[in-house]
Amino acid sequence: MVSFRCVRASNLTGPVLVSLRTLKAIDLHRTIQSHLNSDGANSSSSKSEAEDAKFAIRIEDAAGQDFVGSGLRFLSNMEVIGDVGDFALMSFGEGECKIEGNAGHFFCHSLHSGLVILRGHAGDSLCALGASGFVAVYGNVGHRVAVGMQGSELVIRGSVGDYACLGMRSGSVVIGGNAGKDFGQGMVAGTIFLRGDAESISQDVEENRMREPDRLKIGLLMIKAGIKSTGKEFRMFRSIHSE
Amino acid sequence: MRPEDCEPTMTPFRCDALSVRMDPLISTKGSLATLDRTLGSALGAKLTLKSGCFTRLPTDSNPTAEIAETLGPELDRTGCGVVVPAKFGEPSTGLEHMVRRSSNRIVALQPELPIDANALLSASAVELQFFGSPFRSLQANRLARWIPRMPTEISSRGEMRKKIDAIRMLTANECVIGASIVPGSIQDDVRLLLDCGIDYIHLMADAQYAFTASEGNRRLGNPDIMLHQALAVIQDANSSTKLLLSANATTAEQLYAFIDQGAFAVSIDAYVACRIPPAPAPSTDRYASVLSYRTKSATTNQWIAESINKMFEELDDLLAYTTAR
Repeated sequence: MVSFRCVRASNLTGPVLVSLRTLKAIDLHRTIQSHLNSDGANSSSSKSEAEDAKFAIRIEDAAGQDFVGSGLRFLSNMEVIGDVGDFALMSFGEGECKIEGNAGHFFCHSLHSGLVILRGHAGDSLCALGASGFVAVYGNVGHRVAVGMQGSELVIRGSVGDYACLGMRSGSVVIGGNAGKDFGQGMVAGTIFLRGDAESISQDVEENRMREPDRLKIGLLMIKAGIKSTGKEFRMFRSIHSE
Repeated sequence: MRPEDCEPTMTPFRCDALSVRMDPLISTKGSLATLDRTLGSALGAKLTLKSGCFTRLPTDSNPTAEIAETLGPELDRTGCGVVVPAKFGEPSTGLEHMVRRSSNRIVALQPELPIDANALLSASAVELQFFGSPFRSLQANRLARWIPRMPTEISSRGEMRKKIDAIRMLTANECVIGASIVPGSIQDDVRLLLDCGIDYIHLMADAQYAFTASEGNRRLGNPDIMLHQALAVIQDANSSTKLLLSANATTAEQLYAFIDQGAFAVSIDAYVACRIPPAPAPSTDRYASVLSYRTKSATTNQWIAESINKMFEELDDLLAYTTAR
C-alpha cells in the first residue's frame, strides 16, 4: 500500500521539510501500527502488508531550502518541484526521488541506497561519501564531484568542475561533458567514464581501454539514467593504485 | 592617604569550604559533586554524564560478549557515557550487548566514512572524529598513533559548520554534537570547532590508553597542557562549550585531578586497562589480555566490573568532600 501525501513547501516552518525522525518515527510508524491493529495481532499477512506500507511525497514550491529529505528511508516515491539547498537528501536511502530543479552543495551526501534523479544543476561535492545507490544529474555540477565516494553510481549529463572524483574509493562516475583541473586526484579505486576533455588529469589515474563488460556497464547506467546513449564515445579512467 | 588604607586587608575566612573539607559528617557536598553534569545544545538536546565519566572501550577495543555482558549494566547504572562506532552489530562481538544496554550512547563518526542516519537513532550524542586511523585493522590501530585530519569532503570552515547543522537536522535536534581531537595544534583546532558551533570537545591526550606492553610510556600528548590550552581558548571566546578528556589516568585521584582542572568528564579506559586481577588469576589477565580471547571466564569479567565500581566510589568520595578551586 502506498500512502500519497502532497506538501506545499511554503506552508512548512524551518529548513527541514522532511526528516527521518519526524516522518518515519511518527507518520510511518502510525501507519504500520494501524495496519497491525486492524488486521488482528501479529499474523504474517498483516506483517507483510505493514512492511509494504510506504509513502509517496510530493513537495511543491521548494525554494532552495537546506536539508530537504535528510535521512529519509522507506519512501516509495518522492518528488520535489523547485530548487533544493545544501545537504539535500543527506543519507537518503531505500526509495526513489525526482527533483524538478537545481540542488545546492553536498547534494546526496552519504547516499545510502535508492535512485535519485535531478533535472537541473548541482553545486559542489555532489554525492560525497556516497555508500551506494544511483544518482543522475541532467545539468552541470560544481567542484569536487564524488569526493570520497564509496560505492555509489553517478551519471552526469553536463560538465563538472575541478577535483572531480577526489579521493574516490569505489563506484562509477559517468561524465557526459568536460572536467576541470586535477581530474581524479587521490583516487584509490572505482571507474570514471569521460566523454569530453579534462583541463588536467591527475597522475593518480590512467586511461584504460574499454572492454565488453565496461561497455555493458556504461550502457546499463545510461539506461538507468534515462539517457539515450550507448557509451561508445566515452573514455574510461581507473586509478593506478587499484588492483 | 588615610591610615585605614595602609592596613592589610583580611581575606574573609571561608568556614563553609573548610567545614566541607574537614568534616565528612556534614551533609553539604562540594561544588564539584553538585555540578550539573548535563551537556546541552542550544536547541535543547541533552546528554547527562552522571558520574562525570565516559568510556571509548566499545570503539577502541571491541570487547567480547562476556565482558560486554558484565560491563554494560555497570556502566549504565553509574551513568557513564559510552562512545560507540557508527557501525556495529556483529553478533560475534559483545559490542551490540553493551550498546543496546547503554542509555548514554555517543555515536562516533569517522572522517572518511558516510553517515548512516539509522545509526544515529536513539543516540544521545554524535561525536565527529577529527583524526584518522592509519590502519583499517582495529588491532593494528592499537599500536599506532592517530593523526589529526579534517573530514574528507570538507574544505572550509563554512562547510564544516553547515555539515554540523545538517547532522543536527538529521537527528531532529535531539542529539548533542561533539568533536574529538588528538594532539596537534590544540588552540587552532578548538578555535575552529567553536566557530563551527560544536557543543563539546573531546581531547584525546593518549589515544590508545596503554593497551600495549609499553603502557604508560606511550603518552602522545600532555593532558594538563592540552586542557590548559583548550580552556584558555574557550574562556577567550566566552563560550560555554565543555571539554571531555581521554588521558592516561590510572587512579581515581588522577581522574579527579582532571575534573578539578576543568574537564567536564574524563575517560575511564586507562583505569580499566591497567587493573590487575586478584591473586588466584594470573597477573597477565588484564583487560587487554582478556580482549585477546585468552580468558573468557565469568570471574575474570567480574573483577573488571568490581574495579570499575570501586573506582566510581572513590571518585564520588573525592568529588563530594572537595570544593573546587
